[in-house]
Formats: sequence, structure tokens, C-alpha cells
Amino acid sequence: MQFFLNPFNAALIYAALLILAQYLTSRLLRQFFPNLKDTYRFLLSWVPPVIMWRVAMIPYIPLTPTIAVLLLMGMVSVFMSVSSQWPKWGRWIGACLLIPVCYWLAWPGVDYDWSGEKQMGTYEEMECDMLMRMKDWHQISDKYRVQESPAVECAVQLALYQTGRMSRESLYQTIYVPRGSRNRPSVFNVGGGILTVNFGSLTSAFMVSDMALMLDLPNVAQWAAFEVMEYIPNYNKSARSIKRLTETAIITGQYPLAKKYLSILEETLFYRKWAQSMRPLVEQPELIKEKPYYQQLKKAYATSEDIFFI
Amino acid sequence: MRYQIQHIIQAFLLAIILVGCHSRPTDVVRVDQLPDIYPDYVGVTIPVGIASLNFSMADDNATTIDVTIKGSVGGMLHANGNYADFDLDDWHQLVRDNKGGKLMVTVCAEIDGKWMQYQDFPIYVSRDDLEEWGITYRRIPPSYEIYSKMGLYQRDLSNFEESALLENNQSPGMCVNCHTANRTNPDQYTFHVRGKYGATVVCKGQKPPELLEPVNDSIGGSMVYPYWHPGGRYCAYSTNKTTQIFHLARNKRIEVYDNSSDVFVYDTETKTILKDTLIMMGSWAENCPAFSPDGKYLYYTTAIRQTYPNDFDKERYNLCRVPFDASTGRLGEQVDTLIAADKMGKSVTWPRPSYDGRYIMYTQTDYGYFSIWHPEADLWLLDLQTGESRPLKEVNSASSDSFHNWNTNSRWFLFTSRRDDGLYSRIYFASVDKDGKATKPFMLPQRNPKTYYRRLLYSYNTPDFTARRIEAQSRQMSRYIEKSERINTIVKTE
Repeated sequence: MQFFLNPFNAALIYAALLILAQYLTSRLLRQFFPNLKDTYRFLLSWVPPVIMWRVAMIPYIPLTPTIAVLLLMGMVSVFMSVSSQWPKWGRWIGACLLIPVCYWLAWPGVDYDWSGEKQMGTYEEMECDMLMRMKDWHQISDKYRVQESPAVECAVQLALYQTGRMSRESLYQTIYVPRGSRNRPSVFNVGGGILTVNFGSLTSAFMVSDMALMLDLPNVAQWAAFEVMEYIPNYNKSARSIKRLTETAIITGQYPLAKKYLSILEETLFYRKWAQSMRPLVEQPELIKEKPYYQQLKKAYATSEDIFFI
Repeated sequence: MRYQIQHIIQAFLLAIILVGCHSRPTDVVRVDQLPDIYPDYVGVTIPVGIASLNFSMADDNATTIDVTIKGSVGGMLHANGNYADFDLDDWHQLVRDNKGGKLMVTVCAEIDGKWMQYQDFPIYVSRDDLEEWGITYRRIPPSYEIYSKMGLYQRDLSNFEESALLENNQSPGMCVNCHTANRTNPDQYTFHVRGKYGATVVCKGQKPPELLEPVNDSIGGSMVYPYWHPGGRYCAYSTNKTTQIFHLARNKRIEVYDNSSDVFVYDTETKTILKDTLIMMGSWAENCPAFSPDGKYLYYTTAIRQTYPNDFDKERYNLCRVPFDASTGRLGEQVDTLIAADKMGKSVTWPRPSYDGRYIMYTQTDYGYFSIWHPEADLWLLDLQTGESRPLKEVNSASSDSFHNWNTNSRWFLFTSRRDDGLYSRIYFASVDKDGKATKPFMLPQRNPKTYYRRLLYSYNTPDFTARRIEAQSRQMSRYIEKSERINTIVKTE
């Protein structure tokens, strides 16, 4: 979930989930322990929301387990209301039996393939990626002085260029590192007529895709977007990747393909508006001329030399 | 209270029913053009027994479609809804009744509240039976280097049911290559598994599959592209050291090539790899083996090896054949070149002889052999009686057309094509008459094809027919591959 694209909506969703967790806990405590004092019940009802909030702050854990737990709590609560005339032991057994039922209902939607920092990327990379997407170049260039991540290092060079503190020529000289010229890894290496592009993690691959487009390399952007989608540990697909693939398909003139991707994005929550705004470009490619950003990239793609990259 | 709940439920059910009802054509305006439907089933030829050709209007603004099909011999079908969804039993009955005839399809579509009726179009029902239960294929994202979920699947062609033969998410890191049966016989097959649980799986009859060591240094790699000898004892494989590089421009994405490749024959009874220097020449890259249907020849492609990446577009494969003696398991001494493609500045790949021995269908590209990344890749048909070769213009498209295979009676073939959107390969079927003329191909039917194919971010790969359902189950196969011991093969050099 890329909530930072719309922080207000994201805050609303999280607030709704946490309030729901608190309400359900309070309700369940009343149903299972009717003699519990109101003060204790109120205090205990805040334990699950606090745990869920803490879990939600860990970037490697998806939101789906939290929703699955809420679903279970909701089902148990409804069951307890419906079975109010049952004997106490029957209600307890019924509530326990609901756990496997809920698991059976919810398991297809729960992400089990949680990945660690190595695959998802460091916090620094995630933050830098977010700043890049928000085009906050000043913060990128000022914040990251010593960069361990090649992708962040590359982003800083781009930020210096974007803020007018580096020329295009200097940017190319800095970003395209001659192969074997230094010990540290870098994103773009050149040598022997081949461009080597490296990305270490899912997040840095997203960054590489963004940076490649800024460097007029749509095929590299396309490659990185494709690879990052295959890198997702739970085999899901990424709307962000599909958005990038739509852009590269438009730039490289693959309009039927762009149409397919737009159809998928039009069914998503966060990318629907963007997809709808792009559809005219795909249906009538001559309209691309009115979009300087894509027109310039199309021109660069058509005139650039075809070397290989790996 | 009870009555209130009852009323709410009744109102809810009524609402569902009303929402589920689609409008019927009224004030219909006739349009003097064929309907633009997805998939394009206009004028295609189908076999008896194929699943219903459900379709939608290609235009997303069409809210309802009303379709009537009338058989030239008799019978009628009607469908109305978001897409034409025909009752399977009624469809099969109609197609059976009209074998050798045609079905005339009348399409009305509601677009922006107005009903339009298009020109009727035919769907021809072939006299030639398919005689196959279904198909097998690999489904994989058309990605560059990293792959996530992929697997081998089988699909019943009489309906829309698909089941997994093996999926890589059951054994992490596993990658499965093409599943190859012997003349569509599901009891005899082979495929290669890469990754942690690597093996070449060889199955003959009802016995448990044999798992061969995944890599054999003496053949220079693993057993990659297979083709069974009709007798069932031998299987020819290529061994390929495959590499990829990516284009920065030129409207191309990927170049797949082999640093080296050879062809050899594997004897499943003695577990012996029969190497022959005639088809394992150092400066040549041999590839894509296929036995003739009588088992007397081994077809393969071969090219002079080039220097990559500089000469990537100079590697051109010719089609050759060499005699094979199944009684001794030995190759003959004379190699014939059937198609000298390099002389024409072209390259031949994936030769597939028809099982009746009349034709060889192959893919022709401008260079190289990995045709799915070549938009110019087209299907060609070599007539072995006349020696003439021609492009199958009836089925080819502007996108890559390749990975073809015949059905047992050699009247039908299937292939993959990227014509749908330029990237994601889909399966198409066409028939060939006794004069070698092919019919307009039709896309693998799905229940709701527009939604299904639009959402599908996977490519179909190396499809083949299967005479019967394969009983192997995905999870069992996965466990078997994880736990079973690998067999070392013996190498014999001629």
C-alpha cells in the first residue's frame, strides 16, 4: 500500500482500523468476561490497537494479517451475539471453532511471504524512494551525506542536477561509472560497449526505474520495473510497476500493451485517476505531442544509440 | 422483527435479480460492418468438442451484448449479458450437429444506450476431429532475468478447467522448462527443472518418473529442449548455455542466445547419453532436435557460432537432418541440409514434423533462434513431398508467432503469438487441410476472455496437445522432485 501518495486517506484508513480494533476488543471482553470492571475493560481494549499500530510501523510486515485478525474478532463477536441463548461452554467451543473457519476464509488474501531488509531494501532507501516520488530534491541532496546504498548515492547526484547544482554533463560523468574504476558498487557501470545496471533490493530497483527514465533510458526503466514486479516475495503484482510499464510502453510505441496495463490500473484505488487521464494518449497517440514529458522521452528513445545492457 | 428481516432479505434478493438482468435489443440500428469482438472469432474454423467461443465487444463502452448463433444444419443458441457466455452443453450439441457446416453469428451491442446490429459472421465447424483431450503449457511472466510464479499446467479443451502439473511456488527457487510428451501421450513425458531441486524428469508409462542429474559436465550443461523418438526408447535433447542481453533502444527488448549448444540422443533404457561428433561440432551451434514420425531421421538446426554481443544478428540457423537407427541407437554419417536459411539471410528454429510425415512446421526469424523476442518471427511450412517451403500467411501476424505443435492426426496445430498486445503470448489453434492450407486461427477460449486475458500478466509458452488428462498432481510431483535421488547418466561418444 503506497499510502504516502495520499497521506490523508492513509491516516483515515489506519484510524478506522485501530478504532475498529478497540471497539471489537471491548465488545469481546464484555461478551466473554461480563463481570470485568469497565475501567479494566477500557484499558485492555487499547492493547490490540497499540500492538497493531506498532506492527503497522514495521515496513516489512504487510497490512493483510492485521485485517485478518480484525475479521476474526468481528466474526467471533457476531457469533457471541447470535448464540446468546447457548450454554457458556457451547459459546466458547463455537468461538474457538471460528478460528479455523476464519483462517480458511482469509488465508488466500493474507501475505505470508514477509521479507527482510535485504530484499525490501533499507529504511534509508525507502525514505529516499519516497522523497524521489514526491520530487523533494532539496531534501534528498541535503539529507544523505554519506550513502551506503548505490541507489541513494545515484539519487543524490540526480537531486544535485535537478536543483541546478550540477550540469547534465557532470551528471553523466558521475553516474556512469567506468567498470572496475572503484571498489564500491554503483548502479550504472559502463565498459566494453555494455551498460551494466545493478539494483540490490526491491526498493532500490524501483528507484533505478525512476532514475533510468530521468536519464532517457526507457528500456532500462522498463527492465527494472519488470524485474521488481517479479521480485515481490508473495508473487503479487505491483500497481506502481504497472504504471511505469504503461509509461515505457507509451514511450516505446507499444500502445496495445499500454492499453492492457491501463485497463488493470483503472481497477485500482490509487492509480485509477492517473490511468483514466492517460487513456486518451493510448487511444489517440498523436495527443502525446501535447505532453512534453513523454514527447521528449519518445524523441530521445528514437534517436538514442542501441547498445546492450545487462 | 422477524418479518422485517424477511422483507429486507426479499428486497435484497430482488435487487440482485434486477441488477443481474440485462436489457434486450430495442430500436436496433443496423450497421454495415462486422462486429469488433474480442477475441477475434470472425470467420475462424473450430473442431467439434472445443469449449464455447465466448466473447465480448472490443469496445469497452458496450454495456450489453446480445448474440444469436444459428447452425447451417440446424440448432440455435442465444446469449445476452456483459459478454456472450454460452451454455457449454448447448454449445457442444450445436457444434456437433453442424460438423462440416457453419454457425452464423448475429451480434447486437448496446453502446451508450443505443442498440446496434452488425453484419452476421460465420464460424466454420471442421470435419476434422481434434482427437485430443486438451493441452499442456508453461505459463511464465515475460520477464527478463527474475521470475516469480510460474508453472506447467494442463487445460481441458472441452471446457475452461485448468490444473497445475507443477508450480514453482511449491518448491522455492524452482524453474520448470517445457513439458514434452511423446506424440501427445500423457504417460510419456520429460521436462527439466532448474534451481535448488534441479533435475531432468523422464517419465515412461505408469512407473514413477526418473530424475536425472540436472547438469552433466561431459555434455556441457543440462538437457534443455527435448523431442521423443516415436518408439519411446530414445529422446533427443539439446544442451544450451543460454545468456541474455538487453537492448537500450531499437524497439527490441531482449536477445537470448547460446554461448554453446549441442544436440544428443538419450537412451532411456540404458540411461546412456549418445554423443555423436557429427551433431556436436565445436564451431557450430546445434539446437532444437526433432525426430521424424517414422523415427528414421533426426531433424535439428545448426548455425556457425558468432561472437556476442557484437555479431548478435549474424547467427543464422539452417535446418538439417541426419539418419537415425533405432535398433542400434546410432546416427548415420550423412547430414542433409533441408533449408539453407543463412543463404537467404534468415534463421530457422523449432522444427516440428507433422505426425503424418507430410510437413515440417518451423519458425523463421531474421537471426538467432529464441523466436519469442523476435517480432518478425513467423510460422513456415515445409512440404516434405515437394521440398517447397512457404510462410503460413493465413495464420502469421506482425508479432512473434512460434512454439507450435501438431495434434496426432496432423490436421490441427497450436502455436503461441504475441499479436494480442505485442508482449504476452497467447495460444492459438488452426487447422490444415490436405493441400496444406491453414484456416484463420482462434485464441484459446476462456469463460470471460476479455477480463481473463486483460488481467493476465503471464505468457503461455511451449504448448502441446495431450491425448488424455495427466494424472500427476502438482503437490505430489513437487514433493517427489524434492525428495527423490538423481540418476547419473552414462556418456557414450561415437
